[in-house]
Formats: sequence, C-alpha cells, structure tokens
Amino acid sequence: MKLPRRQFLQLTAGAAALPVVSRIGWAQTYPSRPVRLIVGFPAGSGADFGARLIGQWLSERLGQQFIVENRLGAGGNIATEAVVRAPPDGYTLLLVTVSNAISTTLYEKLNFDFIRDIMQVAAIYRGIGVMVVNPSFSAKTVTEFIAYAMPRPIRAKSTWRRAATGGRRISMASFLRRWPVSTWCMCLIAAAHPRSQICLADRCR
Amino acid sequence: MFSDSTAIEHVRAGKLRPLAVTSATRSEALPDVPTVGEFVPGYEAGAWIGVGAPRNTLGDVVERLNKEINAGLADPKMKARLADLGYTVLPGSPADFGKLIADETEKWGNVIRAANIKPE
Repeated sequence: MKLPRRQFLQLTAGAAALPVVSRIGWAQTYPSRPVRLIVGFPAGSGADFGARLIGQWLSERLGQQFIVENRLGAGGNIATEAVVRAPPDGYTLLLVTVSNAISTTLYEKLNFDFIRDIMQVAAIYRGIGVMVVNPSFSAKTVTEFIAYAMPRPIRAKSTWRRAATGGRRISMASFLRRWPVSTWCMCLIAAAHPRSQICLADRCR
Repeated sequence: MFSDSTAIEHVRAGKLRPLAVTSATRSEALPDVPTVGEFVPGYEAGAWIGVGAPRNTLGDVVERLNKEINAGLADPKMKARLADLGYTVLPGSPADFGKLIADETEKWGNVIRAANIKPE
C-alpha cells in the first residue's frame, strides 16, 4: 500500500509525538481515577480531620474521589512506608505530619529516608496543642499543675507505653525536660483516640 | 494532658479546663488561655500537616495538587473553619513545605537528643 506523502508525514509525526503527547495528556487528565490519601493515624485524630478536609476539597475541585485511608502503626511510619513503596503516579499520596519530622531522629532503623523518598507537595496548616485537665482537677494554672505533679509517683507507665504517636509524647517530653515532673500524667495522652475523651472520662486519676 | 486542637470544642463546652496552649503566641481560638511559654520560656510545640507524594512523581502533578491545595487554603469558608479550630493555614510552594520539614526535623532532633528519648 502506497501512502500519499501528506498522510505519511502525518502518521510519522504522530508516532514521534506520541510519548510526549501521552505524557502531557496524562498530566492534563490527572486525576482520571480515585486517589488514595494515606494517613498514619486513626479516624477522629487531628491528622485524619485534616486529611478528610483537604481530601473533600480536592475531590470537588478535581472531579475524582480522594479516598482517605488510615494505616496505623509505628508513629505514622507504616503509612509513610506504604507511600514510599507506591508507584510515583500521583494516585497514592501521604498525609505528612509533624510525626514524620520527629521519626527521622526518633527511629534509628527505618526502611526509608523520609526527606529523600517523599516529595513535598504542599503544607496545609499548623495547629495548636492544648494542655487541658478535667474540670474537677485541682490545678487551675500550669504552675499549679506542676506543683501537683512534681511529688506524684509514676502511675501509668503501662498505659502510656501504648501511646500511638511519637509526637505528643515528645511534646510532653520537651516540657518535662524543663520541669522534671513525674510522668503520672502521661496516661492522659496515652490512648490513640479520641484523646480528649480520656481526660473527660477522668480515667487516669 | 496535651491534646491537639480537637480539645477546643470540649473547652468551649466546659468539659475540659484549659491550662495553656502550646503555640508561641496566644491563639485566636482561645484568646484567654495563656501559652505554655508564659510559664516555661521558649516552649513551642505545634502539630502541622501537609501532603507528600512518592519520589519521582511527575512535576506537573505535584504542581497541580499544590495549586489546588493553595486554592483551598485561600477559600474564605475553609479558612474561617480552620481558624475557629485553632489552625493557621500554611500556603506556599512545595519548596516552602520542604523548608518547614527541614526546620522541624532539626528542632525535634535536638529535643530528642537532649532528652534522650527512645521509641517504645
């Protein structure tokens, strides 16, 4: 079969251009299927709240579902590793948290290098921590809290060892470094979620 | 107990008594509550979040996601909702997020080494 010259040129031009077109076209049509946003913390946690908020926003803007998937364990490192091992196609994303910045130093043996293996896409927000007590508790100020906690023995080690995140524990630890109070109050930050309920239930005093 | 911003609603409902917020300055969400730093000078601890992707993800995809996330952070409704919960939005480029991660990694690295904290 003999092709007219013009048609032949169109075909070859098309073939040569194909990889470029599909690459550009691919980026332009992204996302063409649901995207997973992996979170290392449980439903009800602050990280999960943020993931669902931004996931819903992106779903509406980009016309594809951004599905939040909670993969718990090792202070968020299980989730991070899952994304490190995922194909770099934009369909698996990580909800990055302060725990990632902490884990880099806290854990000596990780199967990934967070800064090398995870590309930064965008920061979302910074939140505040709140130091809270049950209203029936005697301390009304930080100073009174320290005065109360100082002479108390460690009472809740086993509970606090089950803490799910490195983050809040270290937040407390940096506080304790200045004020060497005993760690009885650690139980209050121990369970993974919903953290506030533990103090509400007054289980630890 | 140290909680994240999810405690704010319980504080407002009177179910929890706030002693302090962990930010460097007082929060608009709880303006009457002092900072821990007012008692322990220099103290600051805040949880932040962002989005990451596997290494070698296409630059166009990263840019697209960055743009859309920033559009969300600029949205007045979303902004107001986050401010009410004590969150400060962090608009910016992927490189800006990289700097935040580098700074925080150094900061917490120093705390972990100084306090000799081990994972459990």
